[in-house]
Parts: sequence; C-alpha cells; structure tokens
Amino acid sequence: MTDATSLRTAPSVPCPNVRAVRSPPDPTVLTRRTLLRGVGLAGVAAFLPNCGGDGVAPSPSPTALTQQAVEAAILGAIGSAGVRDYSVLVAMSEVLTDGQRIQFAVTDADRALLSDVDIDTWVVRVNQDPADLRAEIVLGPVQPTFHGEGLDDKGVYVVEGDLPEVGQHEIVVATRDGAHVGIATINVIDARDSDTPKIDDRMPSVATPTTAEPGDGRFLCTREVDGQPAPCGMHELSLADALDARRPVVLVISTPKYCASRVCGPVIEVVEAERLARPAPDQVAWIHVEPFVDPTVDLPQAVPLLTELSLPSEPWIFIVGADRRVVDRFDGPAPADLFREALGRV
Amino acid sequence: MTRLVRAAVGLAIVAAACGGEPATPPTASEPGTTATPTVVPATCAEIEHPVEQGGGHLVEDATPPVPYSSTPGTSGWHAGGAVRQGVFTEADALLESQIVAVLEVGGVVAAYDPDELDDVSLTELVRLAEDEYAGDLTVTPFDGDMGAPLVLNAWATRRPCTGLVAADLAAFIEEYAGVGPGH
Repeated sequence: MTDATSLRTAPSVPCPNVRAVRSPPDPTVLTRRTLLRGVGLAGVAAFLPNCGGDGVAPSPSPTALTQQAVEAAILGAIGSAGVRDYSVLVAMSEVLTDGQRIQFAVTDADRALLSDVDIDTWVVRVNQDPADLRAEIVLGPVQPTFHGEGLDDKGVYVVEGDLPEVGQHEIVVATRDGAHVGIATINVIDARDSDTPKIDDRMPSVATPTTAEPGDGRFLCTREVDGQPAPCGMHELSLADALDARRPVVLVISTPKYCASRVCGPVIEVVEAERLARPAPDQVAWIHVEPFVDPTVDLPQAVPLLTELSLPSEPWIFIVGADRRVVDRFDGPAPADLFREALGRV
Repeated sequence: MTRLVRAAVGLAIVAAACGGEPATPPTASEPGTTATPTVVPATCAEIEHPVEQGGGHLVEDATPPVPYSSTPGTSGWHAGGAVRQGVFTEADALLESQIVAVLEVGGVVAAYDPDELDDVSLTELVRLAEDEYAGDLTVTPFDGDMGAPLVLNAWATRRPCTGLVAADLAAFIEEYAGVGPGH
C-alpha cells in the first residue's frame, strides 16, 4: 500500500509526460541544448527519483525513464531547442503505412487551438532500447496546411506522406523559430492489416436504416438545429440499394447530437451543406447512419454497419465511386474543402 | 497497512480537513506486533498537467489506438454515447474511456484504488459527490496503477493524493469543474 509515510519532499522537477500548462516551462528540460550538454540516460535517471515535486512521488518506472529520454532524443533528431509547450491532438483512429492524410489540431500552452502559426511537422520513429536510444525521422520536415472550413473554430493541420514502418511513432510539430514544440504518439498500422475499407477497397453492401424502413426508428438521425430535432436529408436510400444501383455514395457515420468533441467537429453539417449546394438531380447517393443503436445509454451497442466495416471509432466519412471502390475516406474531422475536393473525384 | 489503521488515517484526514485541531493519533496494533503506527494526515501532490491528447469516440469498449498520457487518462479517446456520472462501485466501475468522457464534459473524477484508499476518505468522498458536489464530482474505483490511493482528475489535469483532503478537493473542483472541451 502507498500510505502517507511514503510521501517525499523533493525539488519540483517536471515529470516525464507531464508538463506545466500555466507556469512558464523550464527551458532546461527537454531541449536539444540539454541533450548536447550530456544529460543523457544517466542524467535523466539521476533526477527522475525526485520527480513529483512536494507531493506524492511516483515510483520511477522503466516506462517513465524511457519517456523522458525519448523526448530528448526526438528534439535532438529534429534539431530543435524548443520547449514542449504545444499539444498535438490526433483524432484519427487509423494511421496507415500507405500515403494518406494525417490530420491533427495544435494547441498552445493555454490550450487555445492554433490556426495561423508556421509550423513544420515530422514523423519520428524511436528505437526505445535504453542501450541504443535513437530517434529516426521517417517523414519531414513538412509544412502542414491548415483546413478550418466548416469546422467552426476547430480546424486541423494536414500532412500527407508514406510511413514505411508499422508501430508506434511520434508526430512532432515545431514552430519555424524552433521555440515551441508539440509531440503526440501515433500508432501506424499496415494497411493490409486493417479491415476497415481503404482507398480502392470494395465497399461492403450493407442494408442501412431509411425513413421508409427505419428499424426501430428511434435514432435514425440525432441532428439538431438550435436545440431542436432537424433530421438531415440523407436517409432516403439504404447503402445496399445505392451500391446495387451503381451510384456514387457519400456515407457519413456520425451521431451529431452526441459528437462535438475537441476536434470532432460538426461532420454532419459539412456533409449536409455540400449536399444541399449541389444541383438536382444529383447522381450521388447521400447516406447518413447513426453509429449506435441507442446513443442515450453508456457504452452503446454499435449498429451492424460498424461491425461490417470494422470501425473502432466514430465519426467516419466514406466517398465511394459507382464501381463500389472507396475513393476517399475521412477518419475523424472532415474539413469542407478537402471533402469537396474528394467528392469531385467521383 | 490494515484497514483499521487506514480508517484511523482517514479520521485524522477528515478532522484536519475540517479545520479543527489534528486528531490525536489513534493507536492500532497489527496482529502479533506491539508497534504503534504513526498516523500522518493525507496530503495531495502538486497539480499535474499530462500531455493533452486528441481523440474521437470509441465504439463500445474498444481500446484507444495509443496509450493515454497518464493513468487514468485525462484527455484523448473516450467512450461514445451517454456519459455516466455519479458514484460507482467495484461492481460498476467506469472504464478508463468512460472516465475521459466525464472529463470531456467538464466533470471532475475522483478515481481511487479500492485496496489503498482508507474507508473514511471513501465514505466522505461519496457523501460529497452525492451532496455538495453533485453534478460536478464523480467517484469511481480504478483498476490500474495510478501511483497514489486517490487521484483527482479533470481535463488534462490530475492531482494525486494519499487520501481525501477536503480543502484540496474543494479547490480542485472550484478551479476545474466545467472546463472540459465539450462532448
């Protein structure tokens, strides 16, 4: 048991994976300069036992030790002397080896979402063997583009590129002056190991609820406008029927009333706005599916479509050609300009 | 430490937190020993800000694609659907993804190690969650190595404690309840 007698008084030292948001960061921590001064693994190990400041001192673990060293190695690899005071918010559940968009939001030390900073981005692979700690740049530096259209004040930065290896990587952003740095972990998976439909994959034919055949009908569409139910106009066709008719399909899977998180954004509004802007008659079949049987309960059961598509998360958008092949997909937020560009390819 | 001694620690905690004189340390004996344990009032460490993570809604009990930046997680991937708040027991404890969902809507979660937190602290926590802090404070056991018997959690924020320190809990709720980024 950890009891009161286990408290230790120690100098305040930033913990691995923990940063002060409201206090000026200590520039001697996690900087390339620090690295070059020779604070390597031994140095890190020397001060970690004091981590935790004046309160409960977490027991140093191999994981914690590695994390501190990993961050120093990453900053060394990208040549930054900056301070890790930005956060990189990655809202994609699948980052694939094949070239694709990698979308992320960036916040500053006050947790304000950034949209107008010049940043470079790297993807870094870290060999976490304590005896051979190395950070290898596998992508970058790349200047990401910011896309905020349709996402209110949220917006995401986007980079594209092939990632050659599977496994845990770090996505790193740094301002051009090198003063500010953010790091987030991503898990890269081999596209062949993902059962979720990918670009060029054939979209499975699945019957989805419609206004004519709504199933139990309780949660066909949870969209609201000004707090009042306002079902979207994307429930006229079943996915199976649209594919059988060889029509291009926009399939959006989201629960608008229950999804407005940090970078999730109003996905349904982006899609509905594009649908309404198109001239009639529209060859494209627009289909919205709520992901949960009953979103009003905790840990709600997924609808059969999610199981068929092996989706571990929501929201998602799939754009499917008349040949049933996936043209593009959005895992998480969907900036309107990128969605429109993808739609132009069907 | 026996539960008897942990209860004694808790009594001292509550007494100290209520502003009175520190309680005289009660004595208790371990079977087969005559030692008198030293009772030290509970304390909380400094507030920590784990790296804020991004993430959407997980389907059912899916695991997040990357590890959380703290234990339990204080940001990032979280459970979809309705958010459960209130007081939970080992029989219906919140999953880590559900804890993060509570934090996202601005709740404060007191996560405790049921084998480590003293009974008096737990009883008082439950009372506070059901009374003064109803709607703001959720209490749940957590099956994981938090590094402390009790951890107060808000969005991208945590404060480990050895037991309940009422004044620190009040200050934490005052500062962080309602600051989640939405849902």
